[in-house]
Parts: sequence; C-alpha cells; structure tokens
Amino acid sequence: MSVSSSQLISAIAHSLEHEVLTQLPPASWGASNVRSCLALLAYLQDRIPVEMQLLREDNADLRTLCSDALASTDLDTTRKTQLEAALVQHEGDHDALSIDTLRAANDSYRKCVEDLIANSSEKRSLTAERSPLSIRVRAYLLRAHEREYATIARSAMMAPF
Amino acid sequence: MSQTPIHDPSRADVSAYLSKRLATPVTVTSLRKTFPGISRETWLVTASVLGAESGFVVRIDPPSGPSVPQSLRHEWEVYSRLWRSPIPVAEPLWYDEAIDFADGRPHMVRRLIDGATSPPDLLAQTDEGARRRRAVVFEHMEKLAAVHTLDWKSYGFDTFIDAPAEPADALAADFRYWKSLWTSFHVDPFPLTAEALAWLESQLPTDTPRISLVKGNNGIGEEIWKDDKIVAMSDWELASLGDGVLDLAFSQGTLDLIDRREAIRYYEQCVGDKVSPERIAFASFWIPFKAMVCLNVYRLPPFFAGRDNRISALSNGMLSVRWLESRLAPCIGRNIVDAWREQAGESASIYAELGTAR
Repeated sequence: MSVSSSQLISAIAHSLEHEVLTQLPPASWGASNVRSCLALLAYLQDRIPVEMQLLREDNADLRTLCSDALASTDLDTTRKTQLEAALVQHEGDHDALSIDTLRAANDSYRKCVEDLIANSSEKRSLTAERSPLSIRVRAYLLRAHEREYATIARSAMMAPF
Repeated sequence: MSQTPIHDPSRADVSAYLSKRLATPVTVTSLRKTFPGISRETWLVTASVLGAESGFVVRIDPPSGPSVPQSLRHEWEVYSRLWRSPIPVAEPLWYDEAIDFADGRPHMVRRLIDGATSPPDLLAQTDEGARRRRAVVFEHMEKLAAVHTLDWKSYGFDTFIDAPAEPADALAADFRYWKSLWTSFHVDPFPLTAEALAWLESQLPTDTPRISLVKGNNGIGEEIWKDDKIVAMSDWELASLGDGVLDLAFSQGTLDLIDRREAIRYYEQCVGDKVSPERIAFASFWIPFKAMVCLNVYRLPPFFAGRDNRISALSNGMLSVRWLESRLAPCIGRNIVDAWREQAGESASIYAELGTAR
C-alpha cells in the first residue's frame, strides 16, 4: 500500500488533535506544545509537495536578479564580490540538484538580495524616479512573497502557541 | 537536536527560598506557572507566612534567556520606580540572580495582586457585556494616558533607559534600536523585510508630541483587572522611553472591543494630544516588525541550540515571523497612511477622520 507524505502527516495531525489535545486543559503548556506541532505539521503538509519546484523557481528568479545587479554600474566592490561568489558557487543545472543543495543556493542568493537592498543608497520616495534595478528587485519581492506565502497561509493562522 | 530539560522550581524549593529571604518560616501551599507567558516564566505562589496567607509572584528568566532584548533587571528597575508613582503596579519585593535558586537564573519577586488578566465575561453578547467592553476600553485608555504623561525624569527612568534627544526623534530612535538588533542577529535572509524597513525609514513621523514612558506589552492579557478596573499594570519587559502611540498599536485588540475611533478620541482627551494618522499608521507597521525581532532573534536560536525545548519557539520563529512579515510588506512603495488604511479594511477610515481633526 502506498501512503503519501501528506496522508501520513494528516493521520499524525488527526491523532494529535482528536486523541491528545482533547485530553489536555486548553490553557496548559502541554496543549500549547500540541498546538505548535499541529501548526508545524500543517506547514509541512503544504510545503513538502511544492518545495522542490518552489526552490527551483525562486532560484532561477534570483539568479537572473543577481546577474542583473552585477551588471549594474553603481554597485560597490563588496556587493559585486558577494554576487559573483554566489553565482559561481551555485551555478549548474538546478533541475539535477538535491533539495538541500537547492536550499543552500536559495539562502545564498536571498542573502545577496537582502544585502543589496540594505546597502542601497537609493532614496525611497513616493515621487522619485526608481532605478531599473530597484524596479526589478521590487517585482521579485512580490513574486517571492506570493510563492512563499502560499505555503504558510494555513499554518500561520493556526494558534501560535 | 537534543534539548536540555527545564528544571521547574518545586514547592519545597520556593518554600525554602522565601523562608531564607524573608527570614521567617514560609510554607508554599500553591505554586502555578501561568499560561501563556512566553518571554519569561511567571509563577503564582500562595504561601503561609506566620500563619497568615500571602501571595507572591516569582518572575524568572527561562533557561534559554528572555525572548525580548531587555533584561529582567530592566523590568525590575521599571517596577521599582513605578511603585513610588501614581501608576498602579504590584509591590516589587526583590531582584536577584546567580544564587542557589532556579538554577541561578535572574528572577524578581513581587506581591500577588487579587485580580485577573482578563475581565470576566468581556465578550458576552449582552447589554452587560457591551457596557463592560466600553468601561474596560475607557479604563485602559485612562491608564495608558497616565503612563504616557508620567514625569519619567522625576522618577529616574532616564538613569537606566536611553531617552530620545527630542520628541521629534522618538520614533526614529526606536527604529534605529530595533533595526540594529535585527540587522545584527536575525536568522535566515529576509529581503522583503529589508525593503519594508527602507520604506518605513523614509516615512518616519516626527510629530511626536512628547517623550513618554512607553509600556510595551499592554492590553487584555497583560494587566491585572478587577471587574472593570485595572488594579495593576503588569509585564513591563518592553518598557522604553519614546512615543506612546506605540502602546495604542500594541494593545492586543483592546481598542477594537468598541469603535476604535471612540477609544482613540478618549485617549486623546486623557493624554491631551492628538494622535496623528501618520504616527498610528507607522506604529501599526512597526509593532509587527518588533514582534519579528523577538521571535526570530530571541526565540529561534535557543531552540536550535538545544537550550529551549518549547516547540512554539520553532512555530513562532518560522511561521509567525513569516505571517508578521506579510503584515509589514504592504507598506512597500506606499504612503504608510494609505497602506494602513487599506490593510485595516477601512475605506471610510478612522485615520482619515483623525487626519481631518488635526
């Protein structure tokens, strides 16, 4: 019999929710631990089936953004070195990489973009003209947020503790 | 990952400790750790002291350390000064650390106040429930206004808390402090948050009318209530000097027990200053970010290091933080008042109305 990861997680969550949580006073640390486990299980259930594809999409998006940034003329040496290192270290066919390698690449690229934003001297203003790179960064952030939020939308609304 | 077990103090431990400290025989008859209470452990103690029943509260740093930037010593200093002020707090008795109690963890002891952290039947859908909700919100606004108008200098708060140079710098100073914590210590990259911070920084309000003592955590669940009145304001772990509007944004839904417009108007009457839409909008984006700092910087690392066995550190540090980031994100590229108005789902916004009232 073949049981999917999602079915396994559902079974564990059901047992915790209906056989364990109901035996505990709601305002207790034991019940809190079970509720936290249920939220994490819901997150796993929503993340596991799509994680590989999401990481590939995000990494492709990030590699393009990092390459665009590297071509930008107003980047300091530190940022250029960081971007070059990330792009070189994680180049290759991402379709063939393991999930751990994909995740490591993703962290590295995201750190580059985070540092790029944090060190940007571009003034945020409702009226000022934005640079082409800034427009691309913002568009990426929106796409990434939509991708990522889909995996936590359900679990993040569950009891936090 | 392996987890270090937490050693909770037993009745015998607490009896022995209180007996030694009070230099009189003390027998603990009841000992209970409150729930929730993530940042610090709060133990409610009932004891027999010389044949009379006495109540104590023992507040202890978790073995993994607090989930907030400020030390317990900071909270103790706040209590010590407020005890001499008009602000109602439980009597602080002593602070200690690195002694043979609670594994040497920092702790403070205060008197137990008769009351509850939530007024009874607050959400009852009856006339009495509606009356109580109004009374509770008005009481809370009065007490927050009292905190915000307290002459903090005369009580020595500036001897242990950095005060902004001037009111116009109050929100900027808070921004710099919390952003530096995040930038230095956050776990995992958060490019969206980096961009949101840049936008918030570009729209920092400067119209703070006065530098106030800011409570931090406040509202239902944080104060001690007896019927409709606050008999003690508790949980001063995030107390700071700055703009009191942060407390309105961090009131845990208390304002929404009635029409929020009415709550803020009453607060304005009590405090004697208007609340500009820019300040409340900024604060409403800023509070989720501060929560992100507490959960990601102070809760998550001890869990991964095996020093905190509470699984909520993981769910809060990963899931709640991403949810908070999604509340922060709508400020990007927007006027923060417009963004807040839209996020609050108020097309006929109270903040637009407040804006016209300035």
